[in-house]
Amino acid sequence: MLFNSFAFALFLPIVLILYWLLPFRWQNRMLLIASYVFYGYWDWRFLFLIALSTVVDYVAGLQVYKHEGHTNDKSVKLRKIWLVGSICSNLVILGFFKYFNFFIDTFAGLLGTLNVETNSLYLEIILPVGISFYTFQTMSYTIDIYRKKMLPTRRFIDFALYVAFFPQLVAGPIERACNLLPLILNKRTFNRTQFFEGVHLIFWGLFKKVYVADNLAPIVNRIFGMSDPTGMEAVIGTYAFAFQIYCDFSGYSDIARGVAKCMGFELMLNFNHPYVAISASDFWRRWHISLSTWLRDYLYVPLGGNRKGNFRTYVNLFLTMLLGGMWHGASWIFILWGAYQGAFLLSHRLMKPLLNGISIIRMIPYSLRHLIKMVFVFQLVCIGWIIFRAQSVDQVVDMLTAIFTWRGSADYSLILPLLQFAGPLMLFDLIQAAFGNDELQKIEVIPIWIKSCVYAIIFYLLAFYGASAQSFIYFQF
Amino acid sequence: MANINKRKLNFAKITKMFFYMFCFVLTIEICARVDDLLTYNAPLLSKYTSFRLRTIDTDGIPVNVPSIRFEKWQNNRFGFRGPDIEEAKPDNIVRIVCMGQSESYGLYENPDMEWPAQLSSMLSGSLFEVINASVVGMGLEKCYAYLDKYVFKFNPDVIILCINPYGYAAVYERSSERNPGPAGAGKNKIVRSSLKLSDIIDNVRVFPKMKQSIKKLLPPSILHSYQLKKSVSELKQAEEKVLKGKKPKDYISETVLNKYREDVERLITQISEKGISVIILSYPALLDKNNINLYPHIHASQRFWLVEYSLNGAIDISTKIDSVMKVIAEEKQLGFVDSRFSPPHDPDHFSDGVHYTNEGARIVAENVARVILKQ
Repeated sequence: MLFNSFAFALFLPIVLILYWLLPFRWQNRMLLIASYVFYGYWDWRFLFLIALSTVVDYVAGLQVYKHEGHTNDKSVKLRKIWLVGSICSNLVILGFFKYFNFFIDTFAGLLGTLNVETNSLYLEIILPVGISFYTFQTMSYTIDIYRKKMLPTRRFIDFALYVAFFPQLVAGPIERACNLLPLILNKRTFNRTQFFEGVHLIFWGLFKKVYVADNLAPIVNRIFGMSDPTGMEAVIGTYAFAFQIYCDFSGYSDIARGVAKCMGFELMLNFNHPYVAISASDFWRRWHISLSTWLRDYLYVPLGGNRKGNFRTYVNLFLTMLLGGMWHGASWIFILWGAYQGAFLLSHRLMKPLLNGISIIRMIPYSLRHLIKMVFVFQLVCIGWIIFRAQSVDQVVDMLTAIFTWRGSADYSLILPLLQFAGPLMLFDLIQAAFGNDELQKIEVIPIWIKSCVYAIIFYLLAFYGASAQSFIYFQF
Repeated sequence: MANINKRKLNFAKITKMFFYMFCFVLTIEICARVDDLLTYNAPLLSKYTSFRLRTIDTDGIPVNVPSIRFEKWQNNRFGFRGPDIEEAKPDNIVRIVCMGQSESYGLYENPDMEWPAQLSSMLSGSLFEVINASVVGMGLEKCYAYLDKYVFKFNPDVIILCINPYGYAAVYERSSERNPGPAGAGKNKIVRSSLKLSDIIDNVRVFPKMKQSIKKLLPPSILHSYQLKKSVSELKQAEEKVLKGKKPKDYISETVLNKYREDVERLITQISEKGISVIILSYPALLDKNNINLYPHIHASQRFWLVEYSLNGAIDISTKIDSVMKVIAEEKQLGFVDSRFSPPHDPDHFSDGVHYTNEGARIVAENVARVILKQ
């Protein structure tokens, strides 16, 4: 079920009314049913996959905890076996549905280069929506229990709700069990402020998705579908995609957070104005925070993090970003994007001391330096988006050639639709970024009549300029 | 005392709530007006409805207002839909005038996708100039005066006629009780019940926009069942008012057919006397015997304008009048475009009972172009 669909517009009020009318014990049961309905509306067959993942991690979590107190070798071994079993089962499910054809194709390609003929074993596998999100979420539960960061829950219904909680089931944020599970286990009380903050987030998220992202989509599709775009077209296409993907994904996250807030749950912030980032690492602290922190805690740190010297830090960073790229999809283009992000982070780390040593740079006023950094980082992020959006490496080269050689004539009329759809967002985003991290609290102090007017403008743009319902880009991941 | 304070507090709360709602609605209305101003150069403060496109002149002839725009509809300086033209016909140009009602003026098609505009682009590059002189709601009885006063001065070489038979039949039936013949047109006109409310709605810009948006948002099944319910209730009211217990007719009478034939022939003679060629275009209709049960929401809405006839009656009108037109065309050796069957009778080609979609209009334009080029 899409957040920007008529079905969801009916589904959500019913769920919210039932939710607040029911006693606590029944709230979670109802939410679990609602979550399964939400997911099953797309394809009910894949509910079994979620159920399987739930059962495996529920049992694994309890077993890991069961052997925790014992120090004998057998218990230590069993804990490890249950952990590895849980991780492997999740990775096998993810690997089969997401990467099977990719590996088979790559393997066949490799054999082909060795002149070995193979019969391609290509399976028509439907990628279950949101599989990467909920497998990472369930994996973190067992790992956190193994790391003794949290206790497992014995309440199966509550754990099943943690795995399938509908607001963030299909496109995140990837919630940690230590954050979400206590909220599920404890009684929620209705809080008017929290509820209205939720409504605000839903409204804002819809604006990002329906007005910005879905209206930019045709521009992006047209330009990235061209065989020989001009320099201007390539630049506009790239910027349009930068705002499309940001608004598509962060819009979803905002709606997810908003819906959860309306039910008394606080989900983590997934995007924190990423395009005002002033460095590569700053960008990754602001973009898809739930994934970047997941990769940091469950991949980068176990690999050794920055504890084993500079060289290993660089290797770990690079590997983490490479796998982060691969998380997005089974294709070489995502691996290339991951590699680009890795190189982006490494170059920032390497260049930072050098740049700090140049005295002329230090002479530039701080605010101007900040602005230059922001613009520069945004351009480098956009180059990454070309890789992310392109269909092939050839297209990446073609787009970059068009931009850097400024091929063809410049059609400035293309700027207008970009400004029309991304302009209001840029304005609102800059204002919000200026408010700092606590933007919801700051919004609270704005007089209600001003908020009414702003909401009316957003409502107008949504109602009359919103594009028809399109799926979210991150559903495919 | 405590009760009074509590009441005061509640009153203040409710007042505040209304104030915030007022701010919300007012801002939306301002947005709608600014949007219209930026998009269509519409007036910011005065009334802005489709009625500004048309008027009745001093002789009682319905005409399009010159040099005016309402949303996608733009009239040129002579009041014709489409680009500006010179009154004097350029040399070596075949001037074609399309004369119809809303189906030719274009209601649902995108700008420049109504069939006369598509015909113009299909004939472009050659020596043709197409003028869309159609007026929404123009009855056959007003056509004579309209052509005399507004069309003949452009010295057209060809006039393509598309005459609404349903309107003619309905007006004839309504006027026959008091004043036989279509001369009494308009006297017993049915007014939709919602028209009273529309006086208020017309002044608020955001309501019609909202209606369109909601239509887009609703799943077709829900929208269609709502349309059906609304149309059936309006139809019921109209039937009570017009039929007064009588049954709607299942066929068109010979009298109406003969009168229609007479009036059309008179119009053709009037045009031919000026040395202008005539091409007859049969009137569009989604409804036919095969789809009578397929699109109830559209058919019910169409019947509102033709209360005196049942759906079978409407089919009978279009079939028999089409035959009459064919006979006239044959007798007088005129071009005839039978567009009744060439755009398929489905919602891909018809936006409602008689109005085309872009694709439907394209097929009609193609058929007309073929006849023109053949001639």
